[in-house]
Amino acid sequence: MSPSSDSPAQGGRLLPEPVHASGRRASRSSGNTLFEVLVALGLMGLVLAAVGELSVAARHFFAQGTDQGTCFREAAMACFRMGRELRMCRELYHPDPAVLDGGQPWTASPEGSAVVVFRRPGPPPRADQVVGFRLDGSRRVLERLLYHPDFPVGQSSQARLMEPPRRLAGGVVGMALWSPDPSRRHGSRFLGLELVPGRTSGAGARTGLPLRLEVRVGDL
Amino acid sequence: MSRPRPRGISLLEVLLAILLVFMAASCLLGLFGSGQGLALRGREYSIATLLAGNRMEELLACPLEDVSPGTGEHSEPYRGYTWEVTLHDFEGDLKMLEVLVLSPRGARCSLRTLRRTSEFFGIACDPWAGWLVFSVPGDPAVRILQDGGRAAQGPSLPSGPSPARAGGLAGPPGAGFLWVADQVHRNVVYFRQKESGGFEDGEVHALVPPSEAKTPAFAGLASDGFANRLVLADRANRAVWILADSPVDSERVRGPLAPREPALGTPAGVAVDGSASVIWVADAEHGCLRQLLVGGEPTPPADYEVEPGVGWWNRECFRPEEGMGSPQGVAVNPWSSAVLCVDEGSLHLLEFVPISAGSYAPVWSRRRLPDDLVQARPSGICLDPFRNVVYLNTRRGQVWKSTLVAPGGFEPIHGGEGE
Repeated sequence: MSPSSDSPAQGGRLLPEPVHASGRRASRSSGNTLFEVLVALGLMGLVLAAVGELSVAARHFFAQGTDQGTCFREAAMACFRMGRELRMCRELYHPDPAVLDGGQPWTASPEGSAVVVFRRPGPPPRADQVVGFRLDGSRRVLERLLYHPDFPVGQSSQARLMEPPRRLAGGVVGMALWSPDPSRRHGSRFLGLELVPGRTSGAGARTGLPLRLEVRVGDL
Repeated sequence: MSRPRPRGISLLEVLLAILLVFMAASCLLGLFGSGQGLALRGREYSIATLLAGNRMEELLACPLEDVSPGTGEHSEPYRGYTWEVTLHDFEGDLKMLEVLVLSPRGARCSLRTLRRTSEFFGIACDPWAGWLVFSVPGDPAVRILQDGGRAAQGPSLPSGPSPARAGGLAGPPGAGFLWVADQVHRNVVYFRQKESGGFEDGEVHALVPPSEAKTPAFAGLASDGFANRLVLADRANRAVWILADSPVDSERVRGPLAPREPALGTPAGVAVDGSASVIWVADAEHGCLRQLLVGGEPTPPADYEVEPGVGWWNRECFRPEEGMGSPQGVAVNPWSSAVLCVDEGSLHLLEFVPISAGSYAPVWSRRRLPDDLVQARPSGICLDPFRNVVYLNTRRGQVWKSTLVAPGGFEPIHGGEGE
């Protein structure tokens, strides 16, 4: 323990206060105890671990949400685009022409590839065009196809495309078509379209809210 | 005696620092959460837009008279999304139709459009007797216009639970009969002329639709020269009906008759030739004329759609190259060699002439309607084939006349109520 500055010195002289070799005044304590440091480090570690865990979870959650949001946004835009063409549908070739005439609703299988093909008026002066929407189940990508007008209805596998497929949306795991009862639509023919945005399919599928659009068919 | 200040950081300072770090981290992490909330809200906006669009699409397929304001909630999977439909006056006969959809978190989508009341007012002429008969807005009685331009009150529709309003007309009144559509009670009334003058009380005919169809809302009416067939344009079912004078019950009422591909939009006017073999329908929504051939098979049949038991719908939408806006009344001469229609969209009187029977070449002629006539909103049209004169009536109760052979202007021959 260092002597106090106001303690009387021997011989009545006030001796100068001893100076530490480093130039700093010597203190009673030169830092925290090992115990204090360990406690602080422990606490800091706990906090950092909690914050880190939270941060990782938040980043994961955010990335997942952003991903779902992107899927949803793309599916919504695809839904509007498809609706614009489906409202001009003159004749449905695939999956089942009867869907347009009040037949059983059609739902795409979650695996494999599903195609909706129909004929609609082309821009003048061209004749009708045959347009398709293909949902690739393995890639979960929705594409628009433009076929040659001589679409072989009975042998659709031999149909020729006029241009490369155009990507409409990614992250679409389901598609459905149905025709609402005309008596509930003021005597008009409507066609319903459903797209299911999501990232996984099959068992344990994680999908978003389906997007449903109904358009009046025959607006030429 | 003062103690020297201890060196290093105290436990309290460390804890304070940790607390500050924790608070800052919490704030930063909170941004992730609020970002997610905003993304979710954006998704609800998209769904609300889809739902509102679907509802509006459905309402646009419905005649304005059948649109009823209301509120409700969507079913699964959109439970929690509510909708509200409102309809209020905008300007003149325009109405504002609004669809509002609210999400559970308060995302709101409102779609609005203007629609015009689509009541139809018919006109029929009797070239032999020199009479014109026409309906006027908001009145159960039709008007009879004789030479000189003075309109007398004609037969009146029977009143029901609410006052009737006369709409489409058919049948030359001078020939002894007249059909009048009641736009309120949605039926047609048959008037027979007395030998002593005037008309007997009307016989009400309510056409009963099949269970899946709606109660018809008749616009234009037309009858053939022999009064064997009455053709009615039905806005509610987007179809036409045929009432035939037949001893067979099942053949008396045919309807609703509508082509499937392409479908009819909103039928406004209808016309039939002298032998009731060709029926023309004005499609005000799709802006074209449609043709129904009654009876025999046309050539080539590939361009036609079978209307079982009645005839064939021509798949072609007849319109000039310049386009057609919103055809209202349509008229055809007894020989089916000239078809006329008044187009409220392009503001022209349109006429096209066939080159050979059954084959209508796109030879159209157009005559601009005068501004005063446009302002009065033309509705029905009738043709005097012997004098080659067309008569138009308006939604303001006016009657106009124009000569076809020496195309001149349009002249008003009756200026509306009070004259």
